[in-house]
Amino acid sequence: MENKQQNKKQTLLFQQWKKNKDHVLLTNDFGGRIELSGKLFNELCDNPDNIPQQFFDNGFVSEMLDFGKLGLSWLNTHCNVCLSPTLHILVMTARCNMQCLYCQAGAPGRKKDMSLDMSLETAKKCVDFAFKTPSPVLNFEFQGGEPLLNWNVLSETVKYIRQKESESDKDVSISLISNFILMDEEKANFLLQNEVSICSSLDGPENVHKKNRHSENDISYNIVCKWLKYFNQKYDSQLGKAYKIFRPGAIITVTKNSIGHAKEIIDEYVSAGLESLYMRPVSQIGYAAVNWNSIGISPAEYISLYKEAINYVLTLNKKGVSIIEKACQIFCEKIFNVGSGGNYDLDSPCGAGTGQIAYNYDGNIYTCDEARMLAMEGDDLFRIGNVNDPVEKVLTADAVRACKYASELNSQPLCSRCAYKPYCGICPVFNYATQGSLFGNMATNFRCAVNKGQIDFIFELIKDKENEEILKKWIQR
Amino acid sequence: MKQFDIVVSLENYSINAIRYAAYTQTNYAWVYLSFAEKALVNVHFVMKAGHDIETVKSAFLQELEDEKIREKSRAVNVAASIEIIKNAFKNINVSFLKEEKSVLTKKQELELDKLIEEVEKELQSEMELNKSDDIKHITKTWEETNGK
Ligand code: SF4
Ligand code: SF4
Repeated sequence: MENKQQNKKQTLLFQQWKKNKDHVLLTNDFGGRIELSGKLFNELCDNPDNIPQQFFDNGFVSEMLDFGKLGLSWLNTHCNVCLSPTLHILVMTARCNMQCLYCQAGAPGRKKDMSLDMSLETAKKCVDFAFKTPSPVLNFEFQGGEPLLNWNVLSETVKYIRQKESESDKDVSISLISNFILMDEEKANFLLQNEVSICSSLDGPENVHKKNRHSENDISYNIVCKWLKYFNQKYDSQLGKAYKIFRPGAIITVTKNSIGHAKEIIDEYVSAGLESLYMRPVSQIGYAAVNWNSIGISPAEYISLYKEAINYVLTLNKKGVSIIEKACQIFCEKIFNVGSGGNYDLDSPCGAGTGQIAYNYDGNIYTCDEARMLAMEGDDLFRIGNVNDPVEKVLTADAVRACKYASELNSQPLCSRCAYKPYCGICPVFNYATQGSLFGNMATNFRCAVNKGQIDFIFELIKDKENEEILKKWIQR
Repeated sequence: MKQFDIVVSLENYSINAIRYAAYTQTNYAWVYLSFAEKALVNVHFVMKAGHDIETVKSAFLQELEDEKIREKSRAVNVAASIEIIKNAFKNINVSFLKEEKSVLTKKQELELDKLIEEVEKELQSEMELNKSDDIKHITKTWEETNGK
């Protein structure tokens, strides 16, 4: 359809596209997404006089821009810039009772050094600090090392958070990431009664899990399965309880040992009663960098495994099995709903210091947990302060600003021209650790290759209507 | 090590376009730029192992063409984007930011207020001056000129 504005001087706002054989995917930062033939793309570029209406509607023409609508779309996808941290990660201890090959927490081999535990005094200061930040929503996440090694402080901190919550008007949630080795009925009951959601690591079937996650007497796999089942049963039987019980979650770290086991990994999750899985590739930082030869995986290997896994998940969905994959869900949320996806690592700019902050066991504060992990290796570049500092000083620290600038995709040469920019995010800490600068170079960046591969695949998948419908249902969950 | 050169004319492509197109190939080759002679840039590629010269060559030339398309609308796109984002910020509830204590000292705050006032006054008087012969609509916002 011709547009009534066609006689006016119009400029096509084409900045980011991806050419595939005979068609072009064109996007913009304001929710616009059009797939067109290569022929039409070339015709429009040569002669922008006869522009179809959809290009106006989606903000691709300099005239007739709907500033209100486009502005709102931008805000939906960039909301973390306007926030103060909602995710507050408390490292209860840097000690751990396992020795995973890919540990980024700097914990392996540090089992007995109690000076690596957070004191109750520091923990309370962390909580006070979080409550002083302006965000109306706070999510406290207990991490480690293995947080259950510092159970007394952890449980007292949970009580303290709930007490502070009752005195404030903030909306508070609490979660725990644990390997479950020290979990027992008493701890589990306490956590459930205090509405703490629980997450663990399950890398797949026993043989795969064991290779990645080393524990004394190799008990980890059985223990994780036992407690996931336990928390699942509690979730299913919560009717009539005075408190809310969350379904437990688990994450997978995909390593060389996962190759060839895509289907078994999914089956393992289904049989553990889990309805979602998050398949993150191992990162070449921390202890994983030391063990890279035995666990490292290339982006191409990861993507091939990822495709097999998602295809299998979709096959299961078609048979009525309820399971989703988290990364794919996040990308779909961004593609179909023009939303943020709720993952700070895939935001532009990323959530370092604005969406999340991490408190180390000693009260030092970092832009995020990855930054804190780097500090465990002796590099304090992303330290933004201490629990004793004023909130406004910490939240506006130089490292926060540097991370915003480096992860804003328009400041990246490749990203600013990439059709996947609205769906993607980069990590300054990862860039710094693997490429030596916060900006990195996306042409050779591991995470860029992975993200690109995943989004390529999703656009392939949604060419099939049935797949598209299923993936749209994932984002309603 | 396999190497090759492509000479690009600055009459056809901007130096920024050449620089960007070269950057896109850095996964496959080391790329060096130098001035060949007046208005010509020599792009020297030293291939990294396992990559093919012809693929890099054609990808580089394609990137140059693509960048030319982007350059046609970059300035307008930036102006439009700024306007849209400004509009987005109008919708944010910044009340919590106001509650935050300022990171500036009292003295710095007063200086800043004074500075803002001066700039506003200057802008106002310039606009008054231009209003009469505002042929190019420079006193109008982007939104007023280009909005629905
Ligand atoms: S990181 Fe890679 S895939 Fe993501 S926007 Fe940048 S260039 Fe595109
Ligand atoms: S720096 Fe990296 S890990 Fe930290 S918030 Fe940003 S993307 Fe996430």
